[in-house]
Amino acid sequence: MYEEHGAALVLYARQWCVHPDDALQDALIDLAQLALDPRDPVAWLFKTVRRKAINQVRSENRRSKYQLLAAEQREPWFTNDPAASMGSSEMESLLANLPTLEREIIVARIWGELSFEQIAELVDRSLSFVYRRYQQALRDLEKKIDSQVRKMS
Amino acid sequence: MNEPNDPFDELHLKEDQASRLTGLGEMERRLRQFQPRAPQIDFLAIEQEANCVDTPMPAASTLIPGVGIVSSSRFAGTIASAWLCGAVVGAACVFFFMSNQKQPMLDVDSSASSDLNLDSDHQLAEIPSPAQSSVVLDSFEGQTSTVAGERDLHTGTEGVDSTIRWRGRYIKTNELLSHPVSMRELGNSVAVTTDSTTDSDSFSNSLLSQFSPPQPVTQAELRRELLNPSKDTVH
Repeated sequence: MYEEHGAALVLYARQWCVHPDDALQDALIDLAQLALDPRDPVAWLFKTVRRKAINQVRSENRRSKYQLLAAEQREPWFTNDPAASMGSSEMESLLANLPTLEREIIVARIWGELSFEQIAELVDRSLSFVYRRYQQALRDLEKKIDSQVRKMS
Repeated sequence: MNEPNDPFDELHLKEDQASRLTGLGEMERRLRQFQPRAPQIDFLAIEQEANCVDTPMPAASTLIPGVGIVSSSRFAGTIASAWLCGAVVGAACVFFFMSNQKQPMLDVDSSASSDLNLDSDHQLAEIPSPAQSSVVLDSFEGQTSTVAGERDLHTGTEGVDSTIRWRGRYIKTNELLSHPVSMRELGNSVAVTTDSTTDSDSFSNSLLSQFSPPQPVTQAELRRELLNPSKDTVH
């Protein structure tokens, strides 16, 4: 489960905090300390990572702006893929420009491979709301990627 | 999760997904080309935490049987003994201070009671038979001069009697033995005082015999004396 969802969980936590690995590690420790296994471990991990990341960003807000910028610059979101049509940094900037909720839904759906029901429960919104936002975010990304590719070509 | 009165349900969602799959599927595939960074997790720490949960710490009382119970009973016993010792010491201190405060009162009471006892003894000793009184008189008056006894029968008897009273009290209590002589003198002074009263009576009688009331003076004589003072009238 870690190998399958670890990277997506870190990317999901990165939407809020600059140290997503710590959030994931805390979530895995909480999972190991549970007396009973959760009904849906993947959805439970995403929800716990989200909570840990939000708590961490609250504590990170007390740090200096220089430390936050240094931490953000050190860790890229994606690995470089030479076969990809555009660079990982451009994809990272496109994602970062999305609204927070839409970005969260995209990451959970594309890289976390969660169902829309799981995402709706995760973000505490209705299923239709999540699906509409997901479609809207994909359309926006498509337009931006196309324009980016056209610029590059 | 679905909002109420929302026409969008699971069936519509699946139909919409199928209709739009071709358009959005391409975009999803393009996004999945980007692989997120692999996490850097400390699995050793997670395993340690998991092992700590799997083997919970045993209770202190189960490590050594009876240790917890004994220590708790010892602790309670120590507290109880401390309270008991404090109560005993406090009671002793209160008793000590109270006894010290009552000591002067007891002295006064004892002196008063001794006086009372003395009075009772004194009364017992004070009502002697005539033979005893004569013996006491002889015993005390034998060493002193017989002048006081011969001075006046009435007063002399009183003085001697008071002397006997005082001396009887002094002998019984041994408290005022440093002043027997002065008390004796007090008895004599009483006798002398009674003698002086008889002397003053004879003196006043002689004065009365020498005193003659003045003759009544008329107004004319008074006027003459005032207007013509003579050598006899001027002092």
